[in-house]
Amino acid sequence: EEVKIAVGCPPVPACSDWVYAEDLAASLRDAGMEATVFTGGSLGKDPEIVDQLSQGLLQFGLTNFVMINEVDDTILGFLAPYMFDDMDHFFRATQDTESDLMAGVRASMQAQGIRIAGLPGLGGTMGVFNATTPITSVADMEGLRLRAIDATQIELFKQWGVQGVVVDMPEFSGAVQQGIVDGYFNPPVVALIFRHTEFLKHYTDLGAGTPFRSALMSADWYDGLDDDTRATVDAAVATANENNRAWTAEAAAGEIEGLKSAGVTVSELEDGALDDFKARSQAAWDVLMPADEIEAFRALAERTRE
Amino acid sequence: MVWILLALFALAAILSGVAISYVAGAAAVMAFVLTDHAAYLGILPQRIFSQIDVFTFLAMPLFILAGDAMTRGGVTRVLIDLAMLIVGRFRGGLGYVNVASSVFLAGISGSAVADAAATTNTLVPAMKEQGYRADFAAALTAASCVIGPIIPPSIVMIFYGALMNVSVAALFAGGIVPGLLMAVFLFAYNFLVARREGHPGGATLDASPLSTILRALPALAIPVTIVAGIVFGIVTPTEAAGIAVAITVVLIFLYALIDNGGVGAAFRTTVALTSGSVERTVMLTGSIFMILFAAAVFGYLMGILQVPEQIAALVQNTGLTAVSYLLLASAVMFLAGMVMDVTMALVLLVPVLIPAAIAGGADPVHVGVVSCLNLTLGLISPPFGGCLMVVSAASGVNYMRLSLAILPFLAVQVALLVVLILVPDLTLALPRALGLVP
Amino acid sequence: MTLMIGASAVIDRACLFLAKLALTAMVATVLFQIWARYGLDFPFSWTEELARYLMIWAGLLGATCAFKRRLDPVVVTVPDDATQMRQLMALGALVVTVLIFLVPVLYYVLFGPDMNVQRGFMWRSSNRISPGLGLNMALVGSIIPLTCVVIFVHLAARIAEVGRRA
Ligand code: NA
Ligand code: NA
Repeated sequence: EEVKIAVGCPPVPACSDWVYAEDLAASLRDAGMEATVFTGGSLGKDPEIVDQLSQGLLQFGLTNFVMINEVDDTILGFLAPYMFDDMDHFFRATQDTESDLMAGVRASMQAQGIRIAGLPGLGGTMGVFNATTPITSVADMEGLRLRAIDATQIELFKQWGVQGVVVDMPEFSGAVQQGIVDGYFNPPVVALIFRHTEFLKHYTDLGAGTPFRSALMSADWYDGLDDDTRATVDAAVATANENNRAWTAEAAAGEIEGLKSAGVTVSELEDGALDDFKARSQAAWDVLMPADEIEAFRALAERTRE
Repeated sequence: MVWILLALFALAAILSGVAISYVAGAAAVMAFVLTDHAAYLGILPQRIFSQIDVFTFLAMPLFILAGDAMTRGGVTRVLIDLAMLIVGRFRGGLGYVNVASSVFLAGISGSAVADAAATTNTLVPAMKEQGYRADFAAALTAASCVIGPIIPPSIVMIFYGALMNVSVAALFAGGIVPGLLMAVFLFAYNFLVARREGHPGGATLDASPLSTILRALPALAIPVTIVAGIVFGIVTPTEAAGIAVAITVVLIFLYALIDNGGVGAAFRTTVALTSGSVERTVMLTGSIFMILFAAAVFGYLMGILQVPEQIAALVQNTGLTAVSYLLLASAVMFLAGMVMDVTMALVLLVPVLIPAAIAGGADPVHVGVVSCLNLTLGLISPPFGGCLMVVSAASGVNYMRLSLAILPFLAVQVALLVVLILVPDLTLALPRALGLVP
Repeated sequence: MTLMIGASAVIDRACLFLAKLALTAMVATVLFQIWARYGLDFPFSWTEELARYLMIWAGLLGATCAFKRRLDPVVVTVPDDATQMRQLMALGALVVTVLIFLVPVLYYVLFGPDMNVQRGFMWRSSNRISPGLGLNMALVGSIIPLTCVVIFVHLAARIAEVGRRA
């Protein structure tokens, strides 16, 4: 049987979903299985991908973390700003460590017919892009308007003394040109893929949050595999996750160079600014993640800190 | 064999008077079964839900509502009067009036069929009375209604933006110049025919120019609000549509107040007219949703058969340039538009044909605008043109005669389409100047 | 037969009322969102989602009304004074077409592969919570089976009407 892997982005090397999918497909093919990667969202948007996985019509799919969030909002803690120090810390906490938090999320998804293959990284941590001014401290952000995804992000921005404006992504370029917003809070890869570097000329890595995708697989399909095939799939998934870890580190390192060569001024936080951002962001944690799990997440982060 | 069977089934159902959305939906389901993908029918409910669970689509019912309420509130009449005042006195005056009213209406309504229905009743009888050939009058009305979905707001462009993740604001801005060019082309054609056939001018109004302008001003506030609001990024297309609805309701109330006196009576008129528009809007939206479903189901089959990828690969292998591919894809879309509903053609073809053009370096906004114009021409291209049918029914001009009379207009418009494809700057200059396109 | 025709008429009135209500509420939500954004300078995360779900409900309820009134675009119209043979054939085509299209939709709303209810659309939706409003997605998604069932009722009523005339 052919293994179908769906990704939403076009086949471009900057897209971690596609790299992950091709990696997975290559391992499966090496082991004698048939695998096809469907790119560009040709099998539908994220909810449809999840739908097909759950019915066993599709074997693998890469989606936004929101698809997990709809079923179990514990996942938000893995994304919270300054919960984990960097991507490597995030991977240690999610891949190398067994935790009740992750097990709970897995179980919630399993009940939906979805098995979490991994939470792949897509590059460096979250930072602030804007069109007008270099940012080295919280004070530099005064008067800035940032595009927000939702009301919770507006709360986070409030702690930074920044105004958030909800803007649909396709309308973002126009909104910056017209001064509705000055920039956004995203990992560098977003600006590079969408070529927003043409007008977002300033970037500062705040290290605020570890962005990740969800690599999902069909639980019914997986459970129905014979032992040999399942071992092959497990090995392919392990390889893809491991390669993604290396890829993420490499991408994060290359992104800064990529931003610079696209003419973006990359600024560093001044002394003490990081602690300021940390303290302010943590004040918004109860809005950004399930409040009763904050302690459990702190403990997990502490346990996996190097 | 499979596809022939499907085509026969679809044809039989269509000739039996079944609505195209249901025919296409059933054909799509059968295609799954016949291509051995029956298990994949499990995607139907989620596919249907996802297809319409799109924020950008919100603007669609809102613009339909605003346009319909406007027409009920007598705004069409006001805009025709304004056009009469400006261009009525020239030779072939009513012809210009016809085109100009479409331009004014275009700023309010997002749908060509609605514009056609609104203007045919008034303008075709007036033109016949003044000695214009009935088929020329009807054809001109049909041809000019295409301007509606090109000048913002535009329901086709909302669909395109939602499907292809392109900024609706940029598409709207991109449509302004092509829409006005379309009017210029139709003006020029009307000028020639008016000379040749000795059409009369001097059409005048009973009302005073001042009162006509005063009545029209608030109606013109809508397109100005919509265009300025969206294009200058003050509001999103959806918000602009919401504001358009609000302004429309206020305007209807004001017109009713001026015409009937009495706040109570004006209020009752407003509620009655708006309620009628809401009723019409939910049903029209429902019909459009059913068309979207059917096309979405087919679209999934195309995806699983990897048709878009194969087309892109084919284009790459044959070494077609972006421009020649775009011309080719446009020809395919035009042919499809001749026999298909615009929405259905858009949802079916754009995701399959357009990615290869974008990959070849074409600008997404340019491709979007010319594709929307192209597909909209399907409304006035025989054998099955939605606007032709509406105009034929409303004017009493035989469908076959109208189909013949529209051909010269169609030729003019196809010429404009080709110019727009070959000169992207005509479309892109405005959105670029406004910073909506990099 | 009369019962079916009566039921179809009552359901249609209810659907139309609810559809108009949903659309009106949608307009109000969008206007509220504009006010929240510009007036209060604070966008709510749920307004967009609420407006979207109201649109889906308004549109799909509207689709049943359009079906009932035969307002969906057609290429050929079978006139009321057509021969009985032609009318019967038209009805037959309608029944076959609608059933082929909507029966699988209804089936897969309830069931997944191997008639597994837990892999059906409704069951899975019931475990999902919408991000903005915190609504159970089964509640939102229930409009899909509802639409199918209402259209089936209208279809049955149309069969009954033709039967009564014949
Ligand atoms: Na328009
Ligand atoms: Na046509």
